[in-house]
Amino acid sequence: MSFSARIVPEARKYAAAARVAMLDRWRYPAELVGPCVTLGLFVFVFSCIWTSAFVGKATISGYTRQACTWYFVFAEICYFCSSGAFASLSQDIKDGQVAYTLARPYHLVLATWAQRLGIGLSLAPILFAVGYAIASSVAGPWIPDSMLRGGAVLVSFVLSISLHVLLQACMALVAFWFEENSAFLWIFAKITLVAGTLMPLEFLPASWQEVLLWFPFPWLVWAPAKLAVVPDLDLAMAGFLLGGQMAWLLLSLALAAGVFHLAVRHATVHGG
Amino acid sequence: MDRLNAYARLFRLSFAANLAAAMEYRVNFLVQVFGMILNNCAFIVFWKVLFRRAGNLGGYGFRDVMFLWAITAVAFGISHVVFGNVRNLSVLIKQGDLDVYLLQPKDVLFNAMTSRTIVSAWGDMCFGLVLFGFLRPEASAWMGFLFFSATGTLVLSATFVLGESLTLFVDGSEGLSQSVAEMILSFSLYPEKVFPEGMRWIFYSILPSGFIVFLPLAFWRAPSVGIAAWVTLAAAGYGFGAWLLFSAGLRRYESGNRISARS
Amino acid sequence: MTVIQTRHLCRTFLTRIKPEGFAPSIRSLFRPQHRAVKAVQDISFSVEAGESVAFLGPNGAGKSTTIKMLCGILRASCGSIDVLGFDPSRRRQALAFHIGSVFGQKSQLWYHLPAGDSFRLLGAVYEIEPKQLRRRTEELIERFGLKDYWDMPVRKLSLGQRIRCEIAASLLHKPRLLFLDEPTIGLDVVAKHEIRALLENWNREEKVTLFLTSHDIDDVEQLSRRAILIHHGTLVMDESVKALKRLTTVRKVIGVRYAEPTEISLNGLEPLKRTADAAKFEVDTTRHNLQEIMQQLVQSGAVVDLTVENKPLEDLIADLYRSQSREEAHELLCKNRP
Repeated sequence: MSFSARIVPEARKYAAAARVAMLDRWRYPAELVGPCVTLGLFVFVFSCIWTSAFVGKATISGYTRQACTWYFVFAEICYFCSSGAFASLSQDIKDGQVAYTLARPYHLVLATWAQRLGIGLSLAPILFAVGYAIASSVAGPWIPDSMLRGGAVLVSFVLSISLHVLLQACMALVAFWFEENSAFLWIFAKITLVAGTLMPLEFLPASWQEVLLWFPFPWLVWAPAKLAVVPDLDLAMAGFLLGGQMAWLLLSLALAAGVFHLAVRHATVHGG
Repeated sequence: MDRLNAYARLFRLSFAANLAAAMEYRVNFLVQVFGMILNNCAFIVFWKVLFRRAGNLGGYGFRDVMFLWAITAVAFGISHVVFGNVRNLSVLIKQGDLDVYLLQPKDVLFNAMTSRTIVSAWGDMCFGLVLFGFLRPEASAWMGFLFFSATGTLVLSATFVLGESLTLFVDGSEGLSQSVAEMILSFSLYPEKVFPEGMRWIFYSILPSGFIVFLPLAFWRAPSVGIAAWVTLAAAGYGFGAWLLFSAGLRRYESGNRISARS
Repeated sequence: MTVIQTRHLCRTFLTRIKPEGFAPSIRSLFRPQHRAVKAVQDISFSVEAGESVAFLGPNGAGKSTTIKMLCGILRASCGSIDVLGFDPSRRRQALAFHIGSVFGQKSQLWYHLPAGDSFRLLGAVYEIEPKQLRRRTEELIERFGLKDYWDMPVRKLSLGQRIRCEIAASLLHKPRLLFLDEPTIGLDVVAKHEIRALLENWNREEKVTLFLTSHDIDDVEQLSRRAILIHHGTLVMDESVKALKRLTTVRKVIGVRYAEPTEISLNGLEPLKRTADAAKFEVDTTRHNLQEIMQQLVQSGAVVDLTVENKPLEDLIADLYRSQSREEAHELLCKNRP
């Protein structure tokens, strides 16, 4: 069988999974109000904080007030659109629901990735609209100054969701061995919060930045947010940021697939 | 007096049962407690870095923000340790689990709230107490801190109940209840003066962060009986108001006039 | 003494219709559509102290709604209720001291703790003096046979053990009236017998009035002495269980098996089941002579086995559940009267 004859039906499977997840998210529009209110609240609060922080200053660590405000919007949207994979996959493993998916002809990790990507892409426009409305009233509108920036931000956003979902999947798969696996997510989430979500990575001490760049945390939100706001974005910068995300994506895909393979071989399915 | 004793006995035994249930899973207990402490520490790092870069924010320094965090953490912690269902009331209402409490001869709100503890809240409580300790307060400042932690617990719990009670009046408002909780916490953890002056009245009315943290902070900077009196009055008012609203909603629940949607 | 008295009880619910699709969903946020549902219409009955009553009805008949009104969880839209001298909607907490409840899916025991901890907590809820609580707990452990697993967390108990603990817990404060919703659901045959025996014993010796809902007809036959059936929100039947069983004597199920394949022909009777050498017939004894039918069957061939049974009570109840209206149900009952 040729390569394309094998890949195309597989790709269709996961595209269908993504599509169903997207439609499902929009079936009850009232449920979107919660994330919108939460994001809107955070963007408002941090807009106020940055306004206060920049009193008497033009820049902090190379970022202007406007850049910091928009940085936060993009970072939070990336995080919001990719959360939830750990909780749902962990729960499916713990209550034995995952047994049904193991019996089907698709890969659990790829299916999770596709579904969560679908959900994230369906949430993004409405969250962006909310964040845009609030942030632009405080710091002026964000308008991409070049095709490079617009394209890079879009690609980076997709890479960010994918990377976050795969890393969450790795942590969730640990539930095959340890029922109490939430500690992994908590530690991961807190480091991510400090390493580029609440504020740009450049705000941290230089030594911390150097160390953190060797880990996936900044590549989740700092990379797409920086692409959105850094002045004079050029190909080299875009290449570095997107390249870093891609490298971590491939690594986490391999890690998730490996952990899953081990899990299926050694696991006992929970639930009765 | 008898009724008071009866409720005190119920509170004592509920607390003991909650603690015993939590201790059935010691590893989980420790993971949750330390996880929450770690969670809160991440924000301390954020504030330390931000203050180092930005100086002060709206007249607040690092110690001031740490005070906000300490009181909020302890108030949130106590609230969820003793009233573990305080942010779960809308779920109980939606799933019909309020019926169990309606069948018992005790106040439904009190009974429902005290029948659960949130394990991670112990972490919040410990974190808040340790954080305040790190501020190296004088011995007398501890009395004030504990007093305002108690009033903060009451105001915060009352705000959560007010938000959760919306489900008794409007179906599908669980999301709004959650938003109320997020808003009160957000505004209690950030300096008051970073927010526009025109909106600060909200902190002394619908989202009473003013009574939870901002007035206590003012007291910490310059103790005043007036502030203590106002906060005490507010705590009693919010507590009573929350109970009133929940009771009114319960009458609607009993009358079946809670409009429910069927697809 | 009357423990429950309802007069022209009714309950109407307003439900919002949730439309399918995105655009209709958004429209309904601003212009919601409602529908009134009459869950209970004009129910009147009374229960005397010490009775054991089965409250029957198909799903959606209004059983749960009626029980919730009796307990004070829901208020009636119209009519009156008196339970042990209290109006449940006005004096719910006062009534709660005198009633107990075991509601199938809702446990009152703490899942992660031994039952004893729940008993202590319930003692505080019902304001039982500690000494009295200890004595009562020991009595219940003894009579319900809970000793072997008293120290085990509830989550580790079998369903039968948990139900025993639930029922014991519901009797802790010596209620005069006990509401039971599907108490034997999911239990094995032995456990069901034991639970029924305990409840029957408690009803007989302690004079606790039992008000039971169940889909298990054996619960009705073995535990209750009276059955009230509601359907389409109205009261359709209120009979003693003895009288109900008499209704099942009108129709007989006759089974016959022959030594070899045999032709059987009975005037105006089609078999329920038929094989070459066996058959089953349902006979309405008000229209057919039982003796004649038996004779015809015996004369048709060499009979190896012959059984004559009353139509199961379950079938009668099922027929009542299937009826489309109160009038149809009454007609069915009249048809079955001997």
